[in-house]
Amino acid sequence: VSIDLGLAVIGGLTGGIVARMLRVPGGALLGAVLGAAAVQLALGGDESLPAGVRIAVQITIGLVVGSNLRFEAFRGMGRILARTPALLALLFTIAAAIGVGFATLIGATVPVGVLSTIPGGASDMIAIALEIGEGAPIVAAVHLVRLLIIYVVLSSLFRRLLPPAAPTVPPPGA
Amino acid sequence: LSAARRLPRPLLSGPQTVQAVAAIAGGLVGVALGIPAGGLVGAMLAVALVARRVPSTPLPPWLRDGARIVAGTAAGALVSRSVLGGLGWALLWGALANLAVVGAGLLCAVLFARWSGVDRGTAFLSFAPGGLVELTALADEFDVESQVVVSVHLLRRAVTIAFVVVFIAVVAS
Repeated sequence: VSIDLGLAVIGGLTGGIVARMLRVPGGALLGAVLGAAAVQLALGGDESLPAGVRIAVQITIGLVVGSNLRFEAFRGMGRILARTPALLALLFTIAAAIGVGFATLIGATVPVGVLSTIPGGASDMIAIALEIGEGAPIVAAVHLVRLLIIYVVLSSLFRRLLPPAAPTVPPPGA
Repeated sequence: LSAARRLPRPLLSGPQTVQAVAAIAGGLVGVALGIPAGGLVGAMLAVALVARRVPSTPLPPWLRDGARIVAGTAAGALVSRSVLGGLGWALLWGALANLAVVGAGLLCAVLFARWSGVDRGTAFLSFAPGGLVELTALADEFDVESQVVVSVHLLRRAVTIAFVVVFIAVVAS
């Protein structure tokens, strides 16, 4: 691992931790991308990641996603979730078609376009982009834009339109 | 007793350590088998399978955020001046593409509300294409069925990985 890459890692860790402490929505990912990119641009480096780093990133993300997959979360939701796979298939098909169009517009490959627009976890899609060896910065940038749209535009829309949660009533005698 | 109190708490509990070891083993097996994104898919499946045997404990926040920081750092470390130069138009088109994807998500939410009988607020939060943790936190602010929101997002995240891995395998072949 080169010194430049080591410094970029320090920049990414610092950016991620600072953004997390400032409670920026999606801050851990956003701060890390910006921190590592800033160092890399300042150094003028043109790095490629060692294979071991890519595998370590994938395993870390796999650990987090796998730990979320608790089967008991789906218990008793059969009726409600029955048609969810069909709707997700529809959503992915539309997103993949948009991704192909996006790839054509920016002159990227189809996998990079699809990874950029498919509505999965941003860190998951970045890990897969690192695996295929191209377009990870584009995928990261476009997913960060998506998260900004969700957290800034949609969440303020939801706050206007949706009823707030009922306040928790303390138990008698509490 | 006071000496025991001074001992540092372990970073991971027993079940969390089992999950981490399973992730490493599963990831390495996935890579060795040549599965597309084998590290991710292998780790995810191994942890999900192990979670059926060991008590289910959520990973600590430092590890969840750490995973995002690691992924973000890896992507940021690949940004060079030439990449940045080509990113301007990509960001503009990417923003428009993502607005279209968000619109598609809202369309699916309308269908979800109609077919499953949940209220529209629950449906919109279930199909808003954001992060699981952030949307779950957002769902807690509103009078919606948080459990449905969490379940749909869990399903979406897992199915997305499967979809993308198969898609890339097909495109690569």
